[in-house]
Amino acid sequence: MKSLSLVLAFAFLTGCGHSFEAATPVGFVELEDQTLHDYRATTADGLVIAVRELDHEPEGSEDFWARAIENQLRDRGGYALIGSQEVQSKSGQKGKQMRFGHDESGTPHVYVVTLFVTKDTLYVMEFGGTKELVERHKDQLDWAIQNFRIK
Amino acid sequence: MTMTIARSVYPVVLASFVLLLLGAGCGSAPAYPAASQSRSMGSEGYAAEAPMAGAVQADEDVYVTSSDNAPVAERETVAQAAGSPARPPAEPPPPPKQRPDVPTGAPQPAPPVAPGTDTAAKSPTSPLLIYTAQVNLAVFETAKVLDQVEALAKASGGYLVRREARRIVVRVPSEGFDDALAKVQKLGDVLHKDVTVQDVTEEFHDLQIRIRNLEVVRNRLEELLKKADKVVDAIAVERELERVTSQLERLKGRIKLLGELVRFSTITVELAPRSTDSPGRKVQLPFPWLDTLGLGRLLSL
Repeated sequence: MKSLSLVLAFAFLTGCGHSFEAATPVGFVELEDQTLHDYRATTADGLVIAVRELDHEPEGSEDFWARAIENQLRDRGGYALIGSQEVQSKSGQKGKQMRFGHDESGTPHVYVVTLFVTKDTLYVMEFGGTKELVERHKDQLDWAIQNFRIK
Repeated sequence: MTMTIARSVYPVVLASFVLLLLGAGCGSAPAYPAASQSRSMGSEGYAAEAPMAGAVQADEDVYVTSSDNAPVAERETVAQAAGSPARPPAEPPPPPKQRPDVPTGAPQPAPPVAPGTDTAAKSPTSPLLIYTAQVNLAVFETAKVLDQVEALAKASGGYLVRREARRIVVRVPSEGFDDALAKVQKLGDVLHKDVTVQDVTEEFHDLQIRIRNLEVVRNRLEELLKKADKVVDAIAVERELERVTSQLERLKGRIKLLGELVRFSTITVELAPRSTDSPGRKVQLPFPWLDTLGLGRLLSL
């Protein structure tokens, strides 16, 4: 019993509580003590990448969740859907990526949401910043998606 | 002796005429059937069929009241005196949404031509329609989109009405409305679109008839004013003349505005999501995490 507690404590401290591994791109630093997100990293200029792990409850298809996210952001947030595409990580995990545009304080920003759906979990990867920064770091986003791994 | 009688009778006749005019209401429309007179031209008629007639509304309420108080015979006398035929007796009111019938023998109303209204002049029998579009675009590259909407309107022969931080109102020639609207929709992600068409043909004709009648009454009053001997009579006529002139200007303003709205369609582009209170909104899904999506939470470090 004691040994089990130690293992759990070790797992918690080392961040092994997540069922995914997020790769931090060059130029980003990972932020600790996140509440809303399970993983978040930022550049010095404020370009941010984050991942959330959510219980897949109730169970729905990838299209259902993608549509729910799109409706939420467009209808309620006034985000523009710039485009969407299928993505795949090196580990073979397929996902759906949606690119949104939105003005923040009068400046055009881009917000990229990538959704990976498994039977038990929804993984929502967010990537956002000014339009100029996002376009400049597009390769790093692609790299982060390719190296995203579900354990 | 004859002169004395004539002098003593003249003010009475003058006063009676002025009272008659006041009682009949200067906006009386002899071209309308008796039963429909107060309805079609009063508050109920336009309030129900033409929401944009609000500017004329208050004035019409006054008119209807005074008109209803005047005896029918007197009103007919005034109508005939104004150079128009008497109303046909007891005709039923025209059904709603129908153009008012012009009685036989009455001078046909001129084609619906408002100042600067070429469209109306070209086809007097075609309906006069006001096209209005409201487009909600996503909030992305706002300044660029507003610039493009303004440029698009000007290129099509239209003009800018109002521009705010996230909202722009333009008018485009009505014949190019569909084309302009299609181009506007390509400028961004369309979140919502509303297009409305309002037929103002009936209101336009009503206004024309009322204006002509008022002009006749005004001319009569001006003649009376010239003949008035006593100050008190002159004041009474002037007061009525002022009221008629004021009403005339209001109606002319309204008909000019209608002509402008028919000739140029209004397109309002708002870069904002549709109000959450709007009916027909999509249902909010019961997954709280969706509410936490967005740049605000992501970029708040």
